[in-house]
Amino acid sequence: MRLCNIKKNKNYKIVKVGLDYKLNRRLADLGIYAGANIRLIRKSISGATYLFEVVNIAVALRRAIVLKIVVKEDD
Amino acid sequence: MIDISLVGNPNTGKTTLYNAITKSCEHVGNWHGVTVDKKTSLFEYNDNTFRLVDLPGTYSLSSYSFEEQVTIDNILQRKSKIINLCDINAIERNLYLTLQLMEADVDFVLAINMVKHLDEYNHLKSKLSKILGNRVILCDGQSNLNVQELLQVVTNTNININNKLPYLEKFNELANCIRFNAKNEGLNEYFCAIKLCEYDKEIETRLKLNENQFLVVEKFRKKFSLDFIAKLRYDYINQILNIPRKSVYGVSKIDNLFLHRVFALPIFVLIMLGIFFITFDSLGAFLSYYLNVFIKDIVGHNLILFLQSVNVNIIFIDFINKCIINGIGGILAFLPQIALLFLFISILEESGYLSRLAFMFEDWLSKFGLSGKSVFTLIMGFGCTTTAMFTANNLEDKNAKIKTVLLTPYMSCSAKLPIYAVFCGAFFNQSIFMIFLLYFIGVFTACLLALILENSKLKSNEQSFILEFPAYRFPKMKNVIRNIYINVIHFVSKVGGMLLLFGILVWFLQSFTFDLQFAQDGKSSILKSISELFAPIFVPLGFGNWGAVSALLCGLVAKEIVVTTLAMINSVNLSNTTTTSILSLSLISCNSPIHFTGSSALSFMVFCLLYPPCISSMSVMKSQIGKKMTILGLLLQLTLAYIVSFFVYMVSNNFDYTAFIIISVVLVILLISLICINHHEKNNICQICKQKYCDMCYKIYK
Repeated sequence: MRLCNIKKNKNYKIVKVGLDYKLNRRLADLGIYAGANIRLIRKSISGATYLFEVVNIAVALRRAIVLKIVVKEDD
Repeated sequence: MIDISLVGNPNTGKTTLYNAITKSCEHVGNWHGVTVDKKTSLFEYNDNTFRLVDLPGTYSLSSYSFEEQVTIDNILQRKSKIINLCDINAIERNLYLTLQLMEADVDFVLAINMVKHLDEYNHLKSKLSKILGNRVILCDGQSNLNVQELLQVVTNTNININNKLPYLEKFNELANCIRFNAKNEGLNEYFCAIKLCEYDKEIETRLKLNENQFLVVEKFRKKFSLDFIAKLRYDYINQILNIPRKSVYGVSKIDNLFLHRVFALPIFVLIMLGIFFITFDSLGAFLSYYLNVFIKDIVGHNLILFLQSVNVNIIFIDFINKCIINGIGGILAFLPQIALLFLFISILEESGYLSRLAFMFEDWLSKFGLSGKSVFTLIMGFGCTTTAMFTANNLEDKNAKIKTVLLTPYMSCSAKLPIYAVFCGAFFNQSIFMIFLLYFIGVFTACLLALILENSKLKSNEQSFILEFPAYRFPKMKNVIRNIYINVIHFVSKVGGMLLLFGILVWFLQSFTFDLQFAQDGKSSILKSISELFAPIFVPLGFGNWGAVSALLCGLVAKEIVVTTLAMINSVNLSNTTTTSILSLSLISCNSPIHFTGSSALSFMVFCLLYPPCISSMSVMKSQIGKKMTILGLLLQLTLAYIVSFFVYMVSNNFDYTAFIIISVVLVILLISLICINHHEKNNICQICKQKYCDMCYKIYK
């Protein structure tokens, strides 16, 4: 499933980050890469910006980025 | 002299440590991207002189912005010793950069910052010491904890870590293949091999690889993807640290209130109203008033009396009175308000609320092609356009930054309030509604312009919003006072200096004729002659007289001068408290050199609201977005000011004010519709393949 469809406060594993290399690299710097764990903390008021927990820190992303990240439920 | 550079992720306390070591006074804040340029300062330690370099923060050794490239270049040139600063609260993510420094074979000391109690983290230090030896220091720049020990290690030891990372052997083949190219550039071959697999264009260009080498690179890129390399690094970090998971850093229970779906916006509005009320109305206005009285009525009045008593030349007395006392004194009177404004800005910065604002407003501002981070610049524009524009440095997307700077002058700054007060007092029975309407016209024009710019070459990069949340912190009084001091000094030295120069020019034009004869009443002055040339242009707007045009021309120096110029031409003395109403009355009277009707007054206020900002704002605008965009922005402002003022004059002159208000409401509905259409179109297009939604992209990933 896409990252935008995940449930709040549940752990997921990133399967693919389908952005250009520069943005992929920047997200990897922040701990968002295929194989990393991710958790949705909250959405903004209109739901166009998302706040996630990755490597123990909180990172906010715009929906356009979130749409291009595929995740699966973490066992 | 030995250089020492501070390197680390954004918001790890580099500038705080820099201030602590060098006793400097640089701006600090609790958000990412406070430092946008490298700063240097000398300091003495053990009878030796060192130069400390504070570099902008970076998340990795592959740049994402110009500021990060400055830092990376500094690191890879290997001309200085390096202190790699890590935030103890986000140690896993911070060590990601540390590993890259080790890959690049750069010599550094690891300083783990924001440690409040040394004993608490000794186990972490011992774990990291296994790979970095005695080059790991626990410290806290804010409280000066262990800073001397850090300097001891950095200054007295020849740092040479020479510890090869275990995962580097996977890249042996590629590293051997490019060894010669890397050595030629003074770079480590393993570092280059990894960066090539990470598609780092900068390294690729520097290495000048041949075709055979490229084939090897391509082979490795297929084998070791970007994600795989990130996983290698993070797995190694986890292997070293092996610490239990804590609660997520950067998120607080306070956010449940400050980012609440219902309460977030009212809380923000209340905070802003509070800031505006204290800064511009109650305490700020009170302090400014008494400072103004002190400068003009006590110091200025006695100085003029003294100069008259010693028979000084009348021209010199006129210069001191108009230019120094009214001009510079008038600006100094705003100092309490500026200090208060920066007090609140510093508290907002220090607390971490700024990042929450960016998160909250990202949705709405993205519809106008702006970033969430634009909100702070735009809101501060209501206070002072010049200072607000400086905060645009924080925006990563170049187009969003240009648009934010271009739109900031449409937020009516505090300097325009005296104009509204005088005209609303004269023509609209001091109606607060009319002042609110003027503010609204500014915001409405900015929204419309943003939508137009979003459909031009300045279309923003939709994907650019990535923001790390800092944790809430209680504002440190030392930092708050330091930020106020920096900004007040900056205001007095830069803006005050420029205003003095232009003030002298305006006084000269107002006081002399073309044959350099002194004209005290200003009616045969150079300014009048110049203004009369432009006056016919403003006839369609209802104020085509030389006095109004003179005021507008002088307003380009500072908007405060508009009212002073009107008063000077209508021969109204502004030295006591009732003068505002006297000036208002003079603007209605047909016997005055400058007089308005209700419609022309409204048109004049709208023109003042929308026409180019003061000279200091123009200067900051140029430094932020370049000469070409500044000229374009100013021309746009002039054109829009003319068109909107013409529209306002025609409607209010031919109908009445009710019609003007009805048309304004219709325009608001039109704007909301435009935003909705724009948003609907975006929602219908797939963000991945730019086609209509069909789930194709999702299937590919699946």
